[in-house]
Amino acid sequence: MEEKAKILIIEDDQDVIAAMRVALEAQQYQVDSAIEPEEGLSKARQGRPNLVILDVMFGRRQQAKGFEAAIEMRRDPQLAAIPILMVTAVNVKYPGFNFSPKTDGEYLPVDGFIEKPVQPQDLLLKVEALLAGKISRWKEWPQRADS
Amino acid sequence: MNTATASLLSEPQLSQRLLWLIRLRWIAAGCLFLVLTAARFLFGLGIPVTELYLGNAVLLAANLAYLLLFRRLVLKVNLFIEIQISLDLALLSYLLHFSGGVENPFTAFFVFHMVIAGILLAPRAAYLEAAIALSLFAILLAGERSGFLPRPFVSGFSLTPLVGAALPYLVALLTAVAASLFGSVYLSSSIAEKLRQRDRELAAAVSNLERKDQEKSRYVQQVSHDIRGSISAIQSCLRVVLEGLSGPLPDSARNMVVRAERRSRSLLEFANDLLYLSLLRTGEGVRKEQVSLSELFGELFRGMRAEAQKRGLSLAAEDLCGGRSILADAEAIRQLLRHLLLNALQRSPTGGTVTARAEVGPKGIRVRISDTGPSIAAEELPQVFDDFYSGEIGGGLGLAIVRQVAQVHGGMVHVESRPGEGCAFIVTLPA
Repeated sequence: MEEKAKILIIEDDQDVIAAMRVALEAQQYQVDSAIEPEEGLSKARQGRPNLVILDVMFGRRQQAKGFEAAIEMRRDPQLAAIPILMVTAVNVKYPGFNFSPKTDGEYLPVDGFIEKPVQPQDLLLKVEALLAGKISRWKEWPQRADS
Repeated sequence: MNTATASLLSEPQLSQRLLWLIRLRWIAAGCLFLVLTAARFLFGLGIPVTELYLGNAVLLAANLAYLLLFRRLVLKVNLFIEIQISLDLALLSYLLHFSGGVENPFTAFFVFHMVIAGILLAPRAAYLEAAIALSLFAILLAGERSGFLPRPFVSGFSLTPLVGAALPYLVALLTAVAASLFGSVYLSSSIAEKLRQRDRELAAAVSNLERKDQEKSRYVQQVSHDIRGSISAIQSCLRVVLEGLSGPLPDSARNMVVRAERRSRSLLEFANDLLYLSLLRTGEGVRKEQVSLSELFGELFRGMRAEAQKRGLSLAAEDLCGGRSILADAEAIRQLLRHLLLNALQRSPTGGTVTARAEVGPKGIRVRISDTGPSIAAEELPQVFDDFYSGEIGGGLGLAIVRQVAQVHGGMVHVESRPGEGCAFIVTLPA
């Protein structure tokens, strides 16, 4: 039997990790997790996962470390090719912070989005599609006008 | 900063007062002209016409110069006011002398200037003006007493010449004038200072309240944020269970989990609303862009139609301003329209209709969402946009968000209700 893909979850909420882990393991994926982006990146370098599920906001102070981690992955030749599925709490958009996967997604170096609270079916569909290359993947930074 | 000016009004307030002073001076010059003309033609007094009309003209010219200088002022405003008052005093002394001498009844006009100085200037500067006024008066008195400045005779008005007047009389005159000058500065500046003090206390109290309100909003933000994170995790876990990914679930257990999932979902929506409302109230960066109302309505209608049909309600849109867009925060306007529609759907009984309409009015874009629900009593209408008005547990913030979004965009909300005709919630947003 073909070995199922390795998935790394980088998310600061242990219970959300647990929920995603149950859903993914039910489909025989191998799941590893990290609760900090730094830890996640080092696990990614060691374990070479086939897919990274990455949260946006981390810690009590709610810093958007997920964006930085995604950018760092794309700059690291070892990690640049790993697809990233970003987890966003888009059910509240902050005033003045009109980030939305639909309009701004292409400018972030990630390959797909899922919303929190996690819908298991949505998660599994997107994971499968990304691993099978059915979702058009992020390729390169857009050309900046000033560069 | 100069301690003498430390307790003064702010620069913009002073500028405003300076313009007031200039306006007063126009009135004074006008009155002077009328008085001089009346004295000459009505009462037939033999006034020194040339000197007095010259004084009048100088007053007008000086005031015009002040007005022009004010627009390109290089001096500090308070210094400019001090100079103006000093020059006014000099001009008043000149006019007093030529209209009959120091014992002139119009000497009382010195007091006006002292009151103005007491109100506008710091105490030290105001007392300096009193000293200037007293000096001018004393010079005039000494000049007229010695015959160096011969008092012009105004027939029917002048008193006896002052030359050779008794010393005690001169001392009494000077003392009375000094007491009036310094006394009026003291009274007016102490009252003005008390008022300024009250102003400062009030301003401090207001800013303290605003700070406390912001703190409270931040607190609510933090709490709702934490609650949201936890409910979101609960929801994620429950959905995994409901979809059978953690193993089979007996029906009785499934029923309980369905209830828990539904309840946590509505709690999540409540926490989202609470967070959004407090973010709006702390005024955290609303980002404006061109927003198309018809697009937003379209998106919301698509999301709500199924739920509306399930409840036997119909959603109708009338003229939504075509492709017209407004300058606003897209997410905020989406929330505003969403809550208006949700509120209307919630209020409508089975078979009811919710109608959305947007039109360009004189005050901007007018969005009107009407429903066929129960009417609202007139005395309750002003409260419908208050937090928790609907009184439902885990709800009641939707219309408060509607009002807050309208307010941050400089718009207005109101509700119309007639018995038996349902309600119409109306939002006006600047176009």
